[in-house]
Amino acid sequence: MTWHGKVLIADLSANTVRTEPLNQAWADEYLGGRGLATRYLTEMMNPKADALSPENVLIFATGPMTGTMASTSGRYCVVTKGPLTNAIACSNSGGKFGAELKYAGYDLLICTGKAVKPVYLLIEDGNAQLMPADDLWGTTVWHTEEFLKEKHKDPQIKVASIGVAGEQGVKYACVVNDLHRAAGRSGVGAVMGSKHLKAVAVRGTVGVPCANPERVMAVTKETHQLLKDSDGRRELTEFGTNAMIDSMHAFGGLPTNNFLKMTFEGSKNINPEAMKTPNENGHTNLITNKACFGCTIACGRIAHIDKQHWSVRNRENYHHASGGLEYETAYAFGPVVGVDDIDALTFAGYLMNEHGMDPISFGVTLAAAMELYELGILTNEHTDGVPLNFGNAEALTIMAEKTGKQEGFGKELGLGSKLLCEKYGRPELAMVVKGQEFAGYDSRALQGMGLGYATSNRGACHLKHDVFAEDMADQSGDGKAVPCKNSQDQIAMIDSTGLCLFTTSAWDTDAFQRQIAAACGDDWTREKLLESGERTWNLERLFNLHAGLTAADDTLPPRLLETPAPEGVAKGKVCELDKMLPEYYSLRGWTDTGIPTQETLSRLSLNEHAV
Amino acid sequence: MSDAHLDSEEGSLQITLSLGSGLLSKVDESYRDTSQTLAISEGITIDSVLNRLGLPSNMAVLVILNDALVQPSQFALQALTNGDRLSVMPPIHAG
Repeated sequence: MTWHGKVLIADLSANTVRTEPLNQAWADEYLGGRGLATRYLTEMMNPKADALSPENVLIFATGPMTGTMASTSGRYCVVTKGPLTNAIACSNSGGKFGAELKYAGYDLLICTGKAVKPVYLLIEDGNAQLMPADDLWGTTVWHTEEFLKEKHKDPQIKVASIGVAGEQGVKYACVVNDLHRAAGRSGVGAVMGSKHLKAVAVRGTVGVPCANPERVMAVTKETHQLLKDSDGRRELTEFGTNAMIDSMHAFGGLPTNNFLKMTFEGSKNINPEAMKTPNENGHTNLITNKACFGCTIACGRIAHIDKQHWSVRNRENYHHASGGLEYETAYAFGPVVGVDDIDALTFAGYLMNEHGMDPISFGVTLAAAMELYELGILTNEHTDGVPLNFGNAEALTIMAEKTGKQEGFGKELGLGSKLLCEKYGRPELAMVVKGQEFAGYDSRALQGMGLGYATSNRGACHLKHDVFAEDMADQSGDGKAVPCKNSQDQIAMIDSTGLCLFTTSAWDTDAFQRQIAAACGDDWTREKLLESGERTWNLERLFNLHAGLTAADDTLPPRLLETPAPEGVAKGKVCELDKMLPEYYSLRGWTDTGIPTQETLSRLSLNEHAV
Repeated sequence: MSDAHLDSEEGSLQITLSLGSGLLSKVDESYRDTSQTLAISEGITIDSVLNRLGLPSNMAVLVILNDALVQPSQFALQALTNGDRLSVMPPIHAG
């Protein structure tokens, strides 16, 4: 076992902390991380509760492999009810915070209630205390992390915190750890802010218990070698995830101008080649790549902005190196808003990390606002005098900052696409599922992606299924339900391990099984692992059904279902969700209204959670 | 975009070749440009172009010809013609 057997509970209303034993029976059913946290969440809160009320519960969960010697063992999850979707939120992050939490002697951190005044939680080797955060409230993520390291005179402290966006309830505020890694999606940072919890600062030297370290070391060596030899891993190391932007442009699946187009000629100005090519001032955007805790991939990018660029010319506090473009940030500040100024994109990324916001949701919300502007529904009077035309790089950075600081039109952008478009009478322009904005793949070109988006329990998401191979092989909806369902279950399992999803170019389910069996025991067979993933998926679904969501929420915007693709390999096609969804429900063992049948509940030992 | 390549396999036809950034380090040095014109001879197939670029034969790539996806099974069969637009890209996966 690699568990400490300890759960830290921070009761913010009572201003107390306590330690409870880990529910090992649940860990045996749900593995850890995403699955285990979902089980705790369903036990501890009413799914109907307002996401920003004290009744919501905010869980930071490690997996059994978090903090071990395994490759990519730095992952942790934040699980709660999300304000963007009013559904379950499960946001996964890397960096070093997750491993440090485990090193401090805790498997999970559960935050309940709401503090009377702003606080932060300090955790040091089995001890925890809530501390006043009045001085930190209203400050940025970057200031908070620096302040806490300085205050406690320990540069090794790992910090997860929120910015003003989280404090003031931006629907897609995130929790940022280690300055530029984030539990990014679904608004988990807004939940943290609603609890008046500014930060969690952790220092741990306890380590991770391990019953059979020799066996874990042996399987780590073997799986490390698999990663080392993998072409997919090499590509991530060398180019990062942004290598995808050329492919999606050529394929014709790159959402551009709020999904009005599917190719973006400007992609050549923001692709990995552009990142490493000096500009006319001799400035090169990319500095190096960076790894999270224990990672042997290092897909992260470290970049810096040209000091002569208009965005930072007189702002020296942005002249340092920080997180650079990855595919989703490049998409969300690039094609979907029509901008191809690499320094403006990089600056927007800095602002997201500094103020604690999800780049995907911000970018797609801005894209919706730009379409509203170009339609004449929004005017300069609404937008503080800033023309919100597609392609306006200044509008991108100005609005990123206004949203992060919750000033002017930034307050409206902080609502997210769904509420913004509803407010201005054009809900169909919101490119969302269940209120959450799409990642950088158009589901008219990638049909399996469309099914995955529509059925994702946390709203539109590209990371909860993997149907890419099937979508490349065939541009119809045929045969997409099976790989969608199976990959959702597999990824729910992977998210529960504490390992990274980006290992799957080298690791199949058996490779994960060998590592989990070495760490947690041989009863974790391949079948049990996949069943735990399926159980997690269904429990998330049941949480959402109890919260009031229905099959009607498993859908896509009319633009994707009714407007034929204007270009690319799928020209003329719409997403065939109507064909895929009934097959998917049947495969899942759900009724035709998307409710798990009694037989499915019994098979997965979920009877007590029946709707 | 670079000028048309002139080499021993030069032909009278020209195609436009787009290469993904992620492939530039994998192709022969003379082809390291994301957009270029390639001189080809009559009847040349996609397989032959990939070989000419120096890409490893077992490397998975995404190939799009004139906005149509070409499956790997067709690489050896699909002949190119004058004016074709050929894109050779890294495979697509989660990013």
